[in-house]
Amino acid sequence: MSTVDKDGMLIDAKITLKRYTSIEHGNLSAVKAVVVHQTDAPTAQHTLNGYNAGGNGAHFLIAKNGDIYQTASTKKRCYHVGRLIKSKCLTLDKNSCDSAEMAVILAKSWSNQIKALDAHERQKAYPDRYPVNSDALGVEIVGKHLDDTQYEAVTPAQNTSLQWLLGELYRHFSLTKADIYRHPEVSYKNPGEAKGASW
Amino acid sequence: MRSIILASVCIILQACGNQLQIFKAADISNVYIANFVSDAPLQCKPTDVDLSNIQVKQFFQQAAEVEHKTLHDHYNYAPCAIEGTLTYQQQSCNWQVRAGATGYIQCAGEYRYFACDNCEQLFSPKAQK
Repeated sequence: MSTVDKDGMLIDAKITLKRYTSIEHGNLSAVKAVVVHQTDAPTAQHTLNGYNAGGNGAHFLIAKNGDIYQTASTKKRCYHVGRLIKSKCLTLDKNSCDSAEMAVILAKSWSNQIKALDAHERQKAYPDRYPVNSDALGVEIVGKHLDDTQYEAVTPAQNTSLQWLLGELYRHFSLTKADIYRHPEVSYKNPGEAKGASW
Repeated sequence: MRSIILASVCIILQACGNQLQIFKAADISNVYIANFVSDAPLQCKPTDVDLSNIQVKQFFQQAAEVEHKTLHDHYNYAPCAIEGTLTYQQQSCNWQVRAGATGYIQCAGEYRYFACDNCEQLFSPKAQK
């Protein structure tokens, strides 16, 4: 069973700590959800090399062989969700949406619609909306994209490690399975990303 | 010594040969739209990506070629797109342009990805603003 140290790092023999402060962008005051990604890189080392330069990144990285790296503190925010979030009510239960406002938004062109949806959703608190960078951890699974709609398959070792890691995160942050999302569920991304991830 | 230098030059030339060459938008011709696709027909409609053949060519001329990771990290993946065929450097290719001003050209199984930061006029039908 892992513990979390004062710096927000998970301490366990199964996790290699490789913290990159270059991908941390301010404090993460509360962890309410986890977003699962795929790296679009062929190996873990490619992603770790990229983290040296800063920019986007996530808190954990799972290599093809299932090795788990923690790459950012769970107390720090990473840019991994994306600028615009989708509408949770529109996706899961249209009846729970504010129908009058939603009708106005949906009449807009797609590019204006997604900005309006994001603004509308961000007025809500989680879990009424999808998670954002400031309340979610990110887990990256190593895997390249294959084309415009597909990514490499997630390996059995990666899924085993993902399930173990999420089990630890459930316990540390009082999360449930309902708080775990694939990246394309939450924001406008290649629909194949993390499709093969299971938990 | 001479053979080592020769071998090194050969390796470098081979590596360069394996890389995609710089994209030349001027080499695009015969752009034709063949289809509209949408995974979310109520949200992403034909009017969101209502480009003509000439405008598709303009899109690829104005867009920047980017790595797929850049597309993923910094651009929105729209659920609808137009697609079709074009000729690029005498090759017959497939292309797709998404409503989020991103796209690709696929020639002989090789994908080249594009994003356009100044193509609003191509994607903003006056009636929908």
